[in-house]
Parts: sequence; structure tokens; C-alpha cells
Amino acid sequence: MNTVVKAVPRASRAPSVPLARFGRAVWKHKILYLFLLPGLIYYLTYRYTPMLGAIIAFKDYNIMDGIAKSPWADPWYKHFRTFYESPYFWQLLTNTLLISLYKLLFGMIPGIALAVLLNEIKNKVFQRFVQTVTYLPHFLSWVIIYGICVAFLSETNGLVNHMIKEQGGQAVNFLSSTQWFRSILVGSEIWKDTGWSAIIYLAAIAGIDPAQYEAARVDGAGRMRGIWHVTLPGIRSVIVLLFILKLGQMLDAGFDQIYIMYNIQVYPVADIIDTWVFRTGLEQLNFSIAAAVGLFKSLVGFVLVVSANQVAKRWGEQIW
Amino acid sequence: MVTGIKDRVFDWTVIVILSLFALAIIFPLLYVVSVSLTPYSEVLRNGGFIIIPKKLTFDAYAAFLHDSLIPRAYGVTIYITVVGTFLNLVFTSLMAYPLSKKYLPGRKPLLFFVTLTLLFNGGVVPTYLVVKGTGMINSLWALIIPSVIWTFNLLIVKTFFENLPTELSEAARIDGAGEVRILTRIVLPLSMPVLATVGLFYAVGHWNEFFQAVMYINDNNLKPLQVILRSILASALTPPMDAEDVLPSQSLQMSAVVLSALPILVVYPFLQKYFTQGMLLGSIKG
Amino acid sequence: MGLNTKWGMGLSCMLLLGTALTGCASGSNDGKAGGDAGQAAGGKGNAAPVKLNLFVSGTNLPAPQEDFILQKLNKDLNMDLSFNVAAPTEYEQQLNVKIAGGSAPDIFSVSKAQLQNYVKQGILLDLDPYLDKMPNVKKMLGENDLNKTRVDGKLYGIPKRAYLPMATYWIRKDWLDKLKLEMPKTIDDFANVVKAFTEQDPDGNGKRDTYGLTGSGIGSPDAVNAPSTFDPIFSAFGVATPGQFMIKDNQVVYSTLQPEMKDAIAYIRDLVEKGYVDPEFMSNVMTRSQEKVFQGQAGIVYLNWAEMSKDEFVKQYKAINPNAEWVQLPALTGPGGTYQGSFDIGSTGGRYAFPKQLADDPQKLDKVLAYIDYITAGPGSFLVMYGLEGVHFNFEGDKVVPTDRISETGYAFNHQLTGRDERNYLTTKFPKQQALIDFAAGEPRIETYNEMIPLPADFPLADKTRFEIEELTKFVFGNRPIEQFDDYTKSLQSQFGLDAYRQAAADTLKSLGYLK
Repeated sequence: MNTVVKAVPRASRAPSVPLARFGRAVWKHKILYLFLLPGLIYYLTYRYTPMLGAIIAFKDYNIMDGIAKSPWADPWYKHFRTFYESPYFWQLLTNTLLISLYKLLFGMIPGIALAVLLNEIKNKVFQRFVQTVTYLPHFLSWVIIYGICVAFLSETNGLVNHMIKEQGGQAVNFLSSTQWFRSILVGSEIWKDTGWSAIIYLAAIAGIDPAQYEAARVDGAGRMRGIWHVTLPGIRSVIVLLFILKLGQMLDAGFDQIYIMYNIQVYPVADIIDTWVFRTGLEQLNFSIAAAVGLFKSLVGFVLVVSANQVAKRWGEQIW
Repeated sequence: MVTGIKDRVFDWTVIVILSLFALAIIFPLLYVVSVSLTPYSEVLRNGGFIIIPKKLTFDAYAAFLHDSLIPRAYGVTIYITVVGTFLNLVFTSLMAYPLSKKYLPGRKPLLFFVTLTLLFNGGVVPTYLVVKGTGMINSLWALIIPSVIWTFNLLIVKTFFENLPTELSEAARIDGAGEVRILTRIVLPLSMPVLATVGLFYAVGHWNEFFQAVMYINDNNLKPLQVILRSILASALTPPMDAEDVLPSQSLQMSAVVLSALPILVVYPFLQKYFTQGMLLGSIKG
Repeated sequence: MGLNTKWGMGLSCMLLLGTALTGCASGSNDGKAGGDAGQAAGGKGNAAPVKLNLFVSGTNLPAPQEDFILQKLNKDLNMDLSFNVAAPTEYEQQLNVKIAGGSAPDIFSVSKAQLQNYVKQGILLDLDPYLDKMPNVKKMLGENDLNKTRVDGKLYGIPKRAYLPMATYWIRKDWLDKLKLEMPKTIDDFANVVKAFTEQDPDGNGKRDTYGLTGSGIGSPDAVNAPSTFDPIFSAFGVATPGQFMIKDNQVVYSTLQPEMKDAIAYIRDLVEKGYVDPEFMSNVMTRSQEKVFQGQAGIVYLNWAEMSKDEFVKQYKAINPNAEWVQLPALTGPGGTYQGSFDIGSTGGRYAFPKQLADDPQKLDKVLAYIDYITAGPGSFLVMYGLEGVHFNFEGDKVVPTDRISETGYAFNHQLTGRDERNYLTTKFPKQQALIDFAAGEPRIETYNEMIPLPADFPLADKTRFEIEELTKFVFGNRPIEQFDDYTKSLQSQFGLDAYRQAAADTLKSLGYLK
């Protein structure tokens, strides 16, 4: 009797056995899925629904007709072509990638270093003081930071050039020189965000089991080796995660900062995709070009993130 | 003895490096505060450069604080920061927890689904239409719900949950605790540093709220601080020709920074202890 | 989109559960309430004030209950005007979402590009049939004004009346006196003065730390009539600032391509090379050059009278240097004539347009037209210029005499949609500066027309502007040999399709009657 009952459904539902197993596994973790539900609804409503709007990249968008009824662009890649055919296309792409790359390399390391060094400080008051001070510049807008840059670096009356001239040197036009401009971009970003980015590494360090340091110490490891063998491995997942996510933003390079700080003399090294889109959009009110370039940037970011995630799997640090 | 000296050399090297770095930060910050407090002609006389103000003026601050909308704007900002951050943390941890369970069926596609939103977005107009469609225009919820989970923060919290020692949760599970109990009694307390960090990110995001407010809020009484500060600033930056007295834009910009960053500066030290609290709890299990 | 929106709404109410339900509910109630009120006003006829919704780019507007101009307007016209402004940086995006979201304001401001674009998309109301209902507008705004809001010959908006030209070269009179120099009259004199200001230590501090000339930029195609460093130099050579369309011998020509441009650039290059010009002039934003001259770093600058002569600014530079004396420098003479820069006669402080749907509600439309007409002349115009009679100003005969409460009207410019009677207005508000204002307004200038000319479809304006200014900067700083200037104009013309743009200019100006 028992055997018959068992045998019949098994025979008839043979192809869907993995599905059934999946269903049972889902049922087993029903509480966990319940936890997921609000988040999923949020993502579907506010993140995925608007994404449909990206199709205006392939349309001649008309505000009155709306996204759905606007006519298709002819040819469909028309707005991508406008971008590609700009005489500055390759320069924009190179500038964007280079500035992003510099910011990625020189931006992440100081944050990690600051967190590691702060962790080595035993005096809590000093530690908190340094941490508070270093995270403050994050709250300054780029307009203010550019104001600071001018006060320090102006060719005619900046503090630095005053000192250079008093030493008998020749004033340097830091802010409008193609040689200096990218360094100033990276430098001001380090100044602004090192303390801020250190916060997350500090949180990761706080999660490391102190027993591991004890164990290392018992093995005769010095402080440097403690950093190398305990601290850094302890925050590896966070470093890899942030690195992958930043790769996804490689074609962003920091519009706000560059738009405020650049001038026509440094365009050859400073004009990036987003500043170009802004100038083009400002004068032509073309939403579709902005959408097309946005989609292009997203696709490049997508490829980079997926490849980086693939690589990260080797260390078991992948996002998905 | 040898290691003792080495240790001390190490300590002092670290202190010197950090002090230099802090100095490099403080010097320009002092300039910002001083310019906001010094009469503008005095700033110009000094070649635009001032570190310690000799003459003081609070004109630039008065220009902001006299505006009748400012006290309300502080209230709005505090409200969305407190309520918003709380909801952010609830939604984020609730979603990050299941996603940190490597055995959860469908986890990989879900994570992929979530990560994609970091790369693709629909732009201003479609987002506006959805917010309008959900009935939030001119409501403070428009500043909270449409960004209640930041994918970046979600992934960070998920990564931390993954790295938590599993022994405690397993022990609790054997004792018959359900997922709700494990999350609230074990996982969250152990995750104080990351919750404090992510909470800070969210809170600062709300504190600096500008773009969504400009798009979704028309009622002056519901506009947060940054919107009001910037509109006062904008009127100073592009003064009408017949405006009687125009305050120098530089002093105003600097004082706007001080006004908006000061409360954060005051609150931060009180939060700092939470950043290390997890460590103590974590050591209990050892 | 419709389906998704509903789906989203349902989801969100579910998602928000208890607390946020109030948010959803109140949101939809607001929408309904607005609709009902609007309809009620429409049905009841004359008794209830007509609700109007206005949205413009502006700043510094007080709250409605403190806005005495708005309250008086509402009372005078029996309307309920909701007057909303957004800062210029966010205005465009906000307007777009309002229109896309189906709640276009009844009156809104548009830029030149927006006007063209919206007409193309069929959003705007053609005003030609209604112009007769606005006698004041017809009387006070000339054809030249109305041409600014015409697209393909049809009137799609009302422009603000033009401002008077305000910029001149300003020069340190006390420096001239100290070095025993005359006011420069020609561009050769000018070269000598900037040399002396740089080399002969006019501030007497024993250091070579002054420049003859400062300013910002070299032509500013994005910002109409914004003063840039060398405008009067170009005009003395007989050519407008780079990037402008001008009329020469009944032909539309593009300034950068003119042979005189090369001579002007060669002259400027010489001054820059010898170090007489502030080397940062390309990166100075507007207030920066003002700061620099106030600090005594340079002796000549091209700026508006307001920035150099308003009391607070005089106080500022006198506080830094009590001897400083800034005066306007009359137009310089060069091989091309005597001109004080160029002036775009198509420029306007604002363009105001109305949505097509307005025609479906005649009562509302009439109220909008009555409002626009009211503020253009007569009592309404005095209200939006000077505030309330008896409080902020009084009449002495025909003359407006401000009271000491006139300073409360600092936000009035927001209400001057159709502009103002500029000369009387400035005379009333700036009696002390009147001579300077008249001088700047009376200077000879080369007329330009960019603001009236529609951009041809797909014209790469941003790329053209970048190439144009970037290469000019290279010539001026000596980074590209001046012998290559003809190559430069050739690639500028061919690479960016300037001929099509020039043709559009010729067609438009011909149809508007500026070309015979």
C-alpha cells in the first residue's frame, strides 16, 4: 500500500523533482523569504519600474507623448551615434577611464591605511580626535573645496605660489595646467574622502576577533606582522566588495568635482563623459542623448563588475 | 626589551603620521571657518587668505538665521534623519540577513538582481512618475521610502553578516530559537559596528538631502535644511541688480557649510563608541 | 507606464503598512482636493477668485503670506495666483517633471532652447489670436521684444523687456594720475597703459605685483551679454566677441570667422605674452575678477556698473585701499571703429510661455492674459516695480518717490515678468549712479543676434563651442602659432557645420526684418 502510493506520484512527476525539491527548500526557509519580501517590493517598485524609462535612449523623447508613446529613433542607435561621432569621443573616454583609475588606486589605499593606523593607536582620545577631524571634509561641497584650492594654489595670489615666489621661484599655474590638473583632482578627493572611507574599514576591523591578535603575538609576530597577517586579511572581504562596486562606477569619474574645478585650458585632460553630456544637454535639452550615454556607461560598468565578480570567486569573496 | 623599544618606535611613527595628516585637514578647515566669520573687505585685504580671524562678524550667519524658514527646515531635516535612518536600518538588515545565508535557495539570482540596480537606473523623469504614482509628492515619505535601501549599504551589511562567527547562532538554533530571535538577539547586537557605520551613511545622506526634496516637495514648510540653505545662497550668488545689500557670496558659502556640518560634528563623538562595541561582544564567545 | 504606476502604488501602500498609509492616503486626497477646487472655481463664475498656478525660475521670494505684491495682485485681479519659483540650477528639471507628470503650470518661464523644443513638441499655446486682449503688452513691448519669443513666425510667449547695456571697461584713475598718464583713447594708448600698470609699480609697494588688465574668459557663448575680458578690444577691431552672429553689409556673419578676428587675437596675444594681463583670466569666474581689482591686483576690468559702483562695493574697495578711484573708460578706437564691446539685441531676462490646454478653459485663459497685461503698464506695473503706493513709494506728480521702506521690495524683480520701464526704474532706485548707468547705456556697441536664432537640428553646439574657445585660448597664450589662424577658422567652419547655422541665422533675421 505504502509503496504504491509513493511510487505513483514519483513516476508521474519525475521531471519536476528538482522544482519540488526547490519548493520544499523554500518552504523550509519561509521565514527568511518573509524577511526578504519588503525589500523585494521596494526594489521592484522604486528601482526596477523606473528602469523601463531607459528605453528613451532608443526614442525621440517627447514630454507630451510620454515615454511609451514617443516615436522610435531612426536609426535606433541615433543618439548613441551622436555621442560616438563627437570629435572628442576618444578623449572623453580616455580621460574618464584614467581619472577613475587614478581615483580607484590612490583613493582606496589612503582610506585603508588610515583605518589600519587608527586601529594601532592606544590612546582613545587621540584616536577619536583624528577620526573626527579627518572625516569632516566629507561635508564640504566641491564649490567650497575649489574655493580652498584657489586660496592655496592660485597663480597670482595663492599661498603656495606666494611661498614659491618668496623663495625666488617661478609661479606655477596649478589650476589651469594640463600637467597638474589630474593630480589636483585626485589630491582634493583624497583630502575630502580619506577619513570618510576609513570609517567602513574601521567597522570591519572592529569585527575582527581580538583573540587572533593574541595568537599572532604568542607566535612572536611584531606589530607590522600583526597588521599584515591579521588586520588586512580580516577586512579583505570589505576591500574586495568595495573594489568591485567601484569598478562598476568606472565611467563616472566624479562629475560634480570636475564640473566645478575645470576650465577650458585643462579640457584636454579633464573633460569627461558626464561633463560633455551636461554641456550638450544644457544647450540642446536632449534627454535621449543623456539616456543613451547613461546606458552605455551602465553596460561598461556591468561588464566590469561581472568580470571582477568572476575573478573574486577564486578567493570566495564574490558578491553573488 | 627589544620588542618594547620597537613597539614604542612603531607607536610614535603612527602618531606622527596621523598628526601630520590631521594637520593637513585642519588647516584648510580653519580657513573655511575664518572666512565665514571675517568681514569680507578684511578677507580681501589679506589677499583672500585668513587662518585666524582678527575682526569678527556674524553677518553671514545672520543672513541665514534670520530666514523664517530655517528653524522649520532644521526640524524637517532632523525628522527625516531620525525616522529615515531607523527605517533604512530595519529594511536593510531584514533583507541582508537572508541574503547572507549561503544555503538559501535562489540567493545568487537575488544578489545579482540587487547589484544590477547599482549599474542601471531609469533617470529623473521615470523615477518621478513612480514616486508620483505611489502618492508621495509633497509628503516627507517621498524623501524616505523611494531610497529606503541603498544597494551599497545592503551589500556591506550582507558581507558583515557572512563574516560573523556562526557558533552562537547555531547554538541558539539548537536551543530552539527561531530566525526572528536569532536576528534580533544575536546577529544585530554582534553587528553594532557595521550598523553604526551604515546608519551613519544613511543619516548623513538624509542630512544632506537635496535632490529628492527639490523634485518631490513643493510645500515650503516641508523643505529640508539643504534646500533652504541653497536657495538663500542662490539668491546671493545671482543677486538681482536692484538688491540693496548683497552679502559676499564667499562668506555666505562658508557659513552655510558651518551651519549644516556643525550639528553632525557635535553628534558624531557620541556615536563613536558604537563603532567598536561589537568587538567587546564578539570577544565574549572566545 | 500607466499600468506600472498603478502596480507601484498598490505595492507601495502594501509595503508601507501602518505608518505610511497616512502618507499614501493624504497624497491622493490632496490631488482630488486640488481638482475639485479648480472645477468649482470654474463653475461658479465671477464670484470666486480664479486659481492660477505659476512656476518660474527665480530666487529670494518671501512666503505667500509675506508677499505683499502677490496679495495686492490677487486682490486687484480677483484671482488666486500661486507663485512658485525654483533656483535656476534646478528649474529646468522641475519643469520637465511637472509637464511629464501631467501637471503643467499655467504660466512658466522657458529658456531659448526650451522654447524651441517645447514648440516642436506641441506643448505651447500660440498667442497670436490673443495678443489684442493685452493692449499694454502691445503698447510697451516693441516688435524687437516680441521677436524673442517668436518661433517660425508665431508668437509662443511673452518676453521680459530688455535690460540696458551695463558693461564698460573700468580703470583705476588714481593709478593713471600717479603714473601721469592720460585716459587711453585708442587701442595703442590702451597697450601703453596696461604696460605701465604692470611695469611701473602703480601701487607704489616696490614690487612688481600688478597687472594691467584682468577679467574672465574670452567670449562667453553660453552666457549672453556676460562681460568677458577683451570685449571692447574685439569691437575696436570691428568684430563682435567670438561666437556671435552680427550683421555686416546686410549679410549675417559669424564673428570668429572674420578677418578682423585674427588681428584682434594677434593684439591680445601680444599683451598676454608680455605679461600685462592677469594669467588666470581664463579661469576667473565673475566675482573673482571683481575681487582681484578690489584687492588692487589689476588696473582695468570689463564689468557692469552695478558691480563697480553700488555703495556696498565702493565701500569694500575703499576699505582695502582708500585712494582707489574707479572710473568708466569711454569706448576705445581701433582700426574697426569706436565701440564698447558688443550687445545681443535678442537677449532678454526671461521668456514666459503657457500650455496649450489653457485654451480649453477660457475663464482661466482670460485671467492669465489680464494678469500679464496688468503688470506691464499702469498701476500694476508700479506695484511690481516699487511695491505698494503710500507704503513703499509715493507719487509727486508723475514722478515716483521711494519711501525708506523701499528696501522691502528687494524681491520685486520676481514679479516683473514682462520687465519694466528700465530707465525710470533705475533712476528711481539708483539716483546716485544715474550718470554711470546712462553712460554705459549710451556707449556705441556692435549689435549681435544669437538669442533670436534657432539652433539647427543636431547642430553640435557644445563641441563647436569647446573647439572654438579652446583653440582661441591656445593662440592667445602663444601655444599655437598665429600663422595657423586661417587653418583654425577653416576647420571651425567645416568640422561643425557652421554654414547651416549661419543659413538658419540668415533665414530667421530676414523673416524678422533685420535683413533687407
